[in-house]
Parts: sequence; structure tokens; C-alpha cells
Amino acid sequence: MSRGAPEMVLQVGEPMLPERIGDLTGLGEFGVAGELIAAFLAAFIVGNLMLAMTGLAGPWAKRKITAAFTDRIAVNQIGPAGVGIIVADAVRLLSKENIIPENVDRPAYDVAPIVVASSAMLGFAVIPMGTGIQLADPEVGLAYVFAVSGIASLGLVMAGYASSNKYSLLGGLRAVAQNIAYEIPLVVTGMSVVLFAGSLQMSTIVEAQSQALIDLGVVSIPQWYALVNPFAFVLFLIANFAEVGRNPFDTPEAPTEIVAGYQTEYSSVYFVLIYLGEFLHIFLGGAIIATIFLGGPAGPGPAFLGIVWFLLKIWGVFMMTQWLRSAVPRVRIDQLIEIGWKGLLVLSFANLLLTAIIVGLIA
Amino acid sequence: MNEWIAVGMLALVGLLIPLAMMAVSYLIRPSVPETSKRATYESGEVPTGGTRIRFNIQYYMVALLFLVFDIETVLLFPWAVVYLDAVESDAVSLLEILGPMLVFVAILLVGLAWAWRSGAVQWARSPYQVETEADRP
Repeated sequence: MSRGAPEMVLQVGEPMLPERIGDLTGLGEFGVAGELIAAFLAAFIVGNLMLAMTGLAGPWAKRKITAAFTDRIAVNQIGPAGVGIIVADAVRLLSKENIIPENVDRPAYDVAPIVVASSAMLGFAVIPMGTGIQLADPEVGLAYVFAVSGIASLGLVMAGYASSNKYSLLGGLRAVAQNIAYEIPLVVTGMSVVLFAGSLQMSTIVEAQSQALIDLGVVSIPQWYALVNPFAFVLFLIANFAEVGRNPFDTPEAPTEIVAGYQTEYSSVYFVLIYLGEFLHIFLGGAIIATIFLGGPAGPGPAFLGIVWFLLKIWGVFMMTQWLRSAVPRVRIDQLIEIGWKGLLVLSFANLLLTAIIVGLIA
Repeated sequence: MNEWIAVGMLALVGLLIPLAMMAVSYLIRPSVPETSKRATYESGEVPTGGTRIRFNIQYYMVALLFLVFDIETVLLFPWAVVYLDAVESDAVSLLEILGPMLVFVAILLVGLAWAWRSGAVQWARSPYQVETEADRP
């Protein structure tokens, strides 16, 4: 942050991405149809940006990071540093035969991968990714994100049950037990941020974090809620890793116990969709963390760099999931449930009450 | 422009991307049907019994507990949104805005304590617990 008044990256009431595109292309003059096309274009850009992120993360970055942890080189043959593997893997996976086991429940088995992939995409609608790069800014922003990210559990339990496989069934049940155990700590901890900001609207939450917390003369430290309330930040991080099913909480797909959990019977494009949904979910979790705890697109430099800072923050969260994947052992299913209900739930309520008292005393 | 239009459009894009991938895959993938290939996977063995197996009752217990706490969080959200405004205006005292919520959360935490004590959030019982329970009349 530069000296003096911190630059406002985001202001409440700024035009959203659909309006900007409408103005830029002149589509806004064509009435409702133009507005719809502009909104579709904006959604297309945001959707494909996140698709590109997962494309980079899944086949390439994940391999490279794991390789760095285990002292290997990993993919390095196609293109610079092996990034061509993304295209090669996409073609390879999509051209695989789609083997559909004989006992599956047909409509649910086919719908589940779509539910998993598109539910994660929906959450990005309200995330401010930079100056004006936000699809919509409804007043219920934060509640909306929590609500749509919860839909994925439905897809996972559908996949698990419809696969007609014992491993899948157990994986699907574990996924839903885990999601419901960590949903409450996640939402209650997110609520402690709402106590500070006084709003569920994403742009208001980001703007509330743009004030200086401490002014050190040369630099001023912004009032990011991760710095204001580090306890809530740590709780939210842990609950988020459990919510997206990453290590040490990847019990639903524990390969040493239940093969691949709910995705055991999925192959070809269906597997790609479930995999895509998982990565989108990691990034959605990162986007929520960046928005409500790390100042969203805020950072040093001019405002148009907001998107860069935002992407750096969500990649930071992704890197952390990969670090935990290489470094932390998995918890057992009974430990997982007990950590959620006996540990995080109690701590998150303690955090909420403490935050309420502190906000009440300061104000 | 209504902002929910953009949300709806993202839902459409979120549906179109998977469907497009499925269409591309349909065009380029082979199909070589074989009966043994389509058998349910069970670590390479012939599957034994049906799939709809009996599983741990605890999955239901935590789901019931979740319902209670999820409704609680829904009720807490409006309070959290108006909290800052309420403490900043001098219309109500801190005790008036904080007190009722403390009581509400406390009641639920008593419920959690009861569930904890009765073993609803405990996945498996230790051999000791099983033994002492068998001794009970």
C-alpha cells in the first residue's frame, strides 16, 4: 500500500461487468436483448477465466508442485516447462472410452458430474475480481456464495449413490457427512466478518477492508480481516479445506481406503467434469477467502492491477492446498467428524461471540 | 439492469461448458462394448452381494444435528447484518442487541453438549464404552 490514503480498488455502486461490456460494445442500446447478450458475454468471460485457472492448476501446476515437494521434475516435455501437457491431457481424457457400469442409475449417474461442475461455477457470480470485474453484486452476496457452494454435496451424493458401487456409496456418504460438519463452522466464521462490515454485499465487505489498520509512515497496513481477526481467518481456512475436501480432510476420496470414493465408477468426460468441479471448488474457496479476509482485489499499485492481486491470492490458497497435500497425513473419518463437531463448531461460536463483544465495545 | 440476470447467465454458461465438453468427447471417443468391462469395480474381484449395504447410523445422527444448526445460522444472519448499525446508533444498548443472541446461542450449545454427551457426534465407540454399556440394565 502506498503512503497516505489507500487507493480504493472497489467502490460500492460501481458498474458491474455486464454493464461495462454493454457500454463498450454498444449492446446496451438494444434494450433487453442487448442486455441479455452483454450479461451472457460477461458470464462467458468469467466462466472461461475460471476454466483456464483450473486447466492450469489441474494437469500442470498440481504435478509441478507435488514434484517440487518430492524432489522430482514432473512434466517437462511439451512446451516451455511442460505447459503443453494441458492440451495433451484435455485431448487424452476427452477421447477416452466412457465406460458406464451395468448397474448404475442412469439419469442420476449422468447428471451428477454436471451438478458438481456447474454448482462450483455459480459461486463466482458475486466475487469481485478487480475494478469492475464482477458479474453481480446482490445484497445477499455472502449468503448466496455459501448457498450455491453447498449444492456440490448434492452432486457428490448423487454420484456416490447412482454408481451402484460400495466404494462410491461410502465416498458419497462421507462427502456429505464432512460437508455438513464443516458447513456450520464455515458460515459462522464468515458471519464474524459480517459483524465487522455490517453487510453481506461483497463490494461493501471489500471496501470496509480498504482503510488503514496501522500507518507506519512509509507503508500502511490495510485493515484486512485476516489481520484484524487472525483467529477467524485460521478457523475459516481449516473449515474451507474440509469443505472442498482437500488434505488433511480428503477422507471422501481416500485412495488407500475406498479407491476413489464417489468417482470410482466415472471415466472419460464424466471424470473430467468431477475433477473440474473439485478444482473450481478449491478456487471458489480461495476466492471467498480472498474476498472476505484478504481485501479482495486490493494491493499496491494502480487499481487495474486488482485482477492480478486477486488471482495471486486465490493461487496462494491453491498452493496451500497442495502444500498440505504433500505434507500433512489424512485424518480418519471418526477424527474428521469429531474435529468438526467438537472442535471447530465450538471454536467458531466462541469466535463469533468474541467478535460481537469486541465490535460492540469499539463502536 | 437486474443483477440476477448476470447470475442466471453464469448458470447458463456453467451448464453449457460441461455440455460442450460432453459433446466433444462424444464425437472423438471410441466405443468398444464388452460385458466384463462394464462390471462394477470391486478391486478386480467379482462383486459380492448388492450395493445398497447397511452403513453406520451416525450418518443420520450428524445430519439431524446439522438441520438444527443450519437453521440456527440462517436465523443468525439477519442479526449479524444489523448488528453494526444497531451498536453504532444509540437507540439500543449493547446488552439489548447482544443479550438475546447470547441466550439463543447458549440454548443451542446446551443442545450440542447433550448430543456430545449422548454420543451423537462420536463415530465409533471404544471397546471400553461397548463393555460398560453392555453392563447397564
